[in-house]
Amino acid sequence: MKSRIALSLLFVLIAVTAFAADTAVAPAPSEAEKSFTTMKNLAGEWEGPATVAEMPEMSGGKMHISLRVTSRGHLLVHELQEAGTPFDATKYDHPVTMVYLDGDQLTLIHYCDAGNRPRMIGKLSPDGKTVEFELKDISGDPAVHMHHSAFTLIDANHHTEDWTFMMNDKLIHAHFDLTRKN
Amino acid sequence: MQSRLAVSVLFVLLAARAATQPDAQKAFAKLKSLVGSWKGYATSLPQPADRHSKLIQISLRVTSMGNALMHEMQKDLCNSTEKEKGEY
Repeated sequence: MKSRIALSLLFVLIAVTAFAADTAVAPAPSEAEKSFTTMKNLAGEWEGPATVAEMPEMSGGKMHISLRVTSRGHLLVHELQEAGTPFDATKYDHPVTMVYLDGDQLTLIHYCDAGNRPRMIGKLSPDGKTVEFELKDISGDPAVHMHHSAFTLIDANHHTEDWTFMMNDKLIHAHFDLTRKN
Repeated sequence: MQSRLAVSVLFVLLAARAATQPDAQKAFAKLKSLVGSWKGYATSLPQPADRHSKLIQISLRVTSMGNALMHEMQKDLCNSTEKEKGEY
């Protein structure tokens, strides 16, 4: 009789353990993880016009942006160039930006054509549509540098990017209105 | 004679510039000369008994107006065996 009770208890314990394992909830993603996932949804090729508020003569040019996930999902690579220009980053602007999670911080490093590397920390807006990056520090000469950036998701095929460049203590805002090409 | 002198001066200038380049710049310039697509076998040391060398592809390109060198590596899936593809 005792052995039957023990056996029954054992089955109950196994069943409870199995149920607990099935219902174990993965920890909720952190704010940084949510922001990174939002950014990774932008993977693809994008094109659209640039508007530079402080320099109207620079507005209207069409930009091409490539965003791709690499390093087994740990990194998002952003590459920017003027649409239609040859793929020669020694003669034409072609900055590369890397976005990744550094602990609990969504981090962006911009490998600037100016030769420096600003590091920014990103946060998702309360409406979940915009990831905004604030400057944390700069490696290299900070005389002219990228100071701020923001990515706003409109729908699966549209997003905007705002890049703020600091030139001689003057802020220059570039706005890209982008449509997905693939 | 004048053109020879000019060529000599140019070489001296280039040599002087090379000599005054900091070591980091020289090393970066050397690395940038690797730009291109590369293929080869990767071997780990010590080599595990159940593993063999793998074909890999490496792409190196200069970007950010020459300020950065981007290195990307992946397994050469086009020239890998089905078994190797499965391992990736």
